[in-house]
Amino acid sequence: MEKYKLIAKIKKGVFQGLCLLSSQTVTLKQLGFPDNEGVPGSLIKEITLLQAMRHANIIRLIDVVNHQEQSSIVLVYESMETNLTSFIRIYPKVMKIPRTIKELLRQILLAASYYHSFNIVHGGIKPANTFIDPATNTLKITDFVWPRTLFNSNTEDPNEELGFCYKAPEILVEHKQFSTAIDVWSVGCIFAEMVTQKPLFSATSEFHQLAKIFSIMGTPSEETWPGFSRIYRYLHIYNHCKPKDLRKLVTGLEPAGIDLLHKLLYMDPKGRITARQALEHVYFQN
Amino acid sequence: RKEMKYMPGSGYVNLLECNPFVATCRFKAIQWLIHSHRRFNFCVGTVLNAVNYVDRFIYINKCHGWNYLMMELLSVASLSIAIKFGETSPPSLNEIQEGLEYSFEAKLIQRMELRILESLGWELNSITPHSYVELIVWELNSYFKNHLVLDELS
Repeated sequence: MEKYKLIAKIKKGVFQGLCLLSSQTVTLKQLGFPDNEGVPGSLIKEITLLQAMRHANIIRLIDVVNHQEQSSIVLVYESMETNLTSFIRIYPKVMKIPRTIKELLRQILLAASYYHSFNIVHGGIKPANTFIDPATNTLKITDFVWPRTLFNSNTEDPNEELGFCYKAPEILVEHKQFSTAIDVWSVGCIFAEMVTQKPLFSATSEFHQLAKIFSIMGTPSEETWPGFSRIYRYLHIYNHCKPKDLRKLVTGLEPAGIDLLHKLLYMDPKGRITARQALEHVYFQN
Repeated sequence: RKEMKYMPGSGYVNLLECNPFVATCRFKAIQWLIHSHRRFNFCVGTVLNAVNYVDRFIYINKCHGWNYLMMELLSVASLSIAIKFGETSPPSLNEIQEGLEYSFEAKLIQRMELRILESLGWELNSITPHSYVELIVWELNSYFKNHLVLDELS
């Protein structure tokens, strides 16, 4: 820990820091855990895996150091300034260029398919976790808030940007439905947001999120999502909605893009496109 | 080249020769690790990883002036890390400590684990000669299986 100097607090447990050896700015994340069985095995497995991850579109874990306090460690990540939310706000004109959107989406999908090739579900892809270097338009996603690594669950900041807007319907319904498809849904939400510059499914609370999704994508039926009524007992309390035309909601996107968006936001996770397949879509052909 | 990264550097044998106490402790530690391997039926890879962590830790930290208690703590913590890394249903810290002279509290083991992990830079997926043997055996196995199936068909 002597190698790093804290500069500022970003949110609970996450700090901006400076590496005293390389004078590089870094992001530090403190993780605490119980001490009754030594260092938790899940943590050992995950950190070893995270350290092995090397990809141009993923923020790299540079170092893992022990904290002065017992039973906690500090993850040291490379630091980036601008996340997608602020990028859209600062450079609205750049985001209007279809080529920029295409290039950024391609990079998110590359990162997601890299995670998925290790059988890792990111689980928290959202604009606040997606960083862009404005000089090169290089996009990197991060896992600072990797849900499963959070042993101290209180690090989830209530003021944090509304993460539930990017959650897939199956995870809103049942938390066990954890698969790589939930990341693909989040990528779809971000895609629409890059085009319209506002969240596609913006509900006021996690509770209303599902209704919001149904109101746009249509309430699932036995044809559109076989077996859904079995995993979700409360389906009958929702109004029956017909799917809306995404072309009217996400204006300015070329037809190939709309087709890809439909496949990314396919309600039934079993029918949803994978990140790898999405990269081969016609939308990226030219 | 990847294998080199997971080996204690050159001069490790020298270090052990110059420090017979550490060498004896290392020998005892390995005996105990093999004993635990039999007792719990761990994968061979887990035990080899544990030995690898002990070796790399001694190489990095030199362990001058360490006493037997510290060396035993090192072997318990190394085994515990290797188990958590490689086994699906790890026994508890209390259970693995059988056959040792001292018994350690979970808190203390955790501190040692953290020290080892930091020293090794959390690089635990060691590539040892055993990794190659395992791969070759696996390949041979699937080769023979295919041939057996073919033989049966013909």
